[in-house]
Amino acid sequence: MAETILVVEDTKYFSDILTDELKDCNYNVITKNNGTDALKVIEEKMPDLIILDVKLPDITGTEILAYIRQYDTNVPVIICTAVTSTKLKTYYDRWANAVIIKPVDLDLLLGVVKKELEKSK
Amino acid sequence: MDAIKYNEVILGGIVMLSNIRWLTLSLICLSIILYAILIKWLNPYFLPRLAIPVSIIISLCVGIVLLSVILGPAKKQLISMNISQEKYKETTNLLGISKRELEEKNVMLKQKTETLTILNRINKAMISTTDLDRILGLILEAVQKDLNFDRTIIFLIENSTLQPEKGIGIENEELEKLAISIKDKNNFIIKTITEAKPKIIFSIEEEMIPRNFTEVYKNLKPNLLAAIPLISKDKVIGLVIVDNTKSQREIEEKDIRNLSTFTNQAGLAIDNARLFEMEKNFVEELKRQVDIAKRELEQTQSQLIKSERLSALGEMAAVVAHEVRNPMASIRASAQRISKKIANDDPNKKYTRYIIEESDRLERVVKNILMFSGETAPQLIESDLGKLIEDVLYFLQPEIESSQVQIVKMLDESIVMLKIDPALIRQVLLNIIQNAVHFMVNRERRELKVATMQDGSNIVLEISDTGPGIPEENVKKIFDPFFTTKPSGTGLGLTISNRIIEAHKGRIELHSVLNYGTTFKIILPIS
Repeated sequence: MAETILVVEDTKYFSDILTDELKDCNYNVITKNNGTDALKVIEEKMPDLIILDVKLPDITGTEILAYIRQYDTNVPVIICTAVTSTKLKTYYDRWANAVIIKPVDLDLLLGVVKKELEKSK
Repeated sequence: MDAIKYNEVILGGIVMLSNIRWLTLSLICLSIILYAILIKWLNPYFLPRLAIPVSIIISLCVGIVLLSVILGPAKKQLISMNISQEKYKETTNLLGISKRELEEKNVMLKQKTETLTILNRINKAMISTTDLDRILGLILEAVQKDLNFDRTIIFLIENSTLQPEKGIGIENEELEKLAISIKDKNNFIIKTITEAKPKIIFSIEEEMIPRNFTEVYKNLKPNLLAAIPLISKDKVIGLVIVDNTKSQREIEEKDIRNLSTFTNQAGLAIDNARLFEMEKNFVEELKRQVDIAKRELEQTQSQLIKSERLSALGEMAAVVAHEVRNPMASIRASAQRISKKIANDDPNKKYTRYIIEESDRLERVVKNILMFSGETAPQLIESDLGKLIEDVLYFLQPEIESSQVQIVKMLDESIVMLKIDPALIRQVLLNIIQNAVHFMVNRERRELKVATMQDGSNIVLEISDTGPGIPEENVKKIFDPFFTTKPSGTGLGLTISNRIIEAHKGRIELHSVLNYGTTFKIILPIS
């Protein structure tokens, strides 16, 4: 059975591309453009992997990550952001599985996704 | 008043005397007339023999009685006249004495006025000038004029030495010989200082004269040499030595008293000059400190402006990075997806590559800006430094060739992999090499040397040019943001380079010789 990946990304085009790319790789993809909707999905059923943007219109990716880690410390979370902050980096290094800075090389991202899914099994 | 009274008495006497003469004559005449009358009157009663003598006797008696009546007051007048005359003489004497005294007083007053005038002149000089030498000169001149000593010398105590400061009636060469130590307490000069009282040498045998004085003060006899201490604020600050050894005129207590008027003035003048000197020094010190504070303030201000600019830049960079990176992520990912979907021989394949490459280039720009504003950390990857250098030189080849710069490479083959952020180090190399090429354009010798070597736990990358060198005043500023000597420079290239190397925990060293060239040493730790 294909793994479910939750993509939380507010940039319409980029989330679209990402969803297509992951679907092409035979993953089950749920895409959300804001934090509230993303949290709803997480509460309903924890996905196998989460690709998380930091800057979202309602709540931040950091808050979502904190929420996820309350319930599940194992689910792989890949931070995919345009924000580079040394302060946040320490936090993500501790709680996220990988940090990828935009613009993203799709092959690199797919590689990380594959690796993290394998690790979490 | 008395003199006038006496004069009146005397004049009255003289008048009376001349009156007596006429009175006597008129009495004689009266006696003769009386005699003639009596002869005629007595003739019928007496015999002519008797009438004549009786007439004469009566006339004489009447005359005598009358004369005594007249001469009585005259005698009194004469006596009083004598008394008046004596008194007059006495008064004249007294007058003479007081006149002499008046004249003497006049002379004294004149002298005092002169002394005061001189003192006034000295005071004026003291107010208008703080030149101690000039004031002491004026004092000496005044002493010479007023008291006329053969020689007058002013000594001042300086670091336990009594130094001859200025003299009149003495040559400078001789003056210089007169310095004595104040530790030699036996001689009369130092005694004068310790006692703080003027001293005239009464006995040469009893007083010790310093050896170096005997040459200058020859023919010394009692009362020819005197020392007067110079006192300022109850402290002896020097002394004045006067002598009359040439003229052999004895110095009197009076001379010393007069001299002290001038020595007091000299004490004040010295005090004044020293105070002024202190104040001048104080004002200068104050000015110096104000200057330092001003400079520091200016520096702080410029640093503040720079850091404000930088923090504003940092904020802006973060916003720009976010706003640029998000659309770029879509662009790059779209191109990548197209590239994947189309066949390798599709003529559009290369365009997708262009989009991806240019996106990466833009990303480098963003990264640099973030780097510069301290918003990001380098991503260390095992990289081949030699290959990186070759890449940069290859990239700059057109520029190097057009500038006719010769490249000398001295790369250590043993250095293979180094944990660095290749994109950032590439940026550093580009900045430094481009600068070197730029500054060699008008030089006769154009040689660029790139060398790598291992130095203990560090890798050293040396980039040397044969450019004009960096002036010393610019060496410190070269890594400052916005500092540039290139007309079109941003003043950020070397600042970013320095930040990048610092972020790698390394450092950049700079060696520059004017008209010879500049060497940048990039020192990177291996671990």
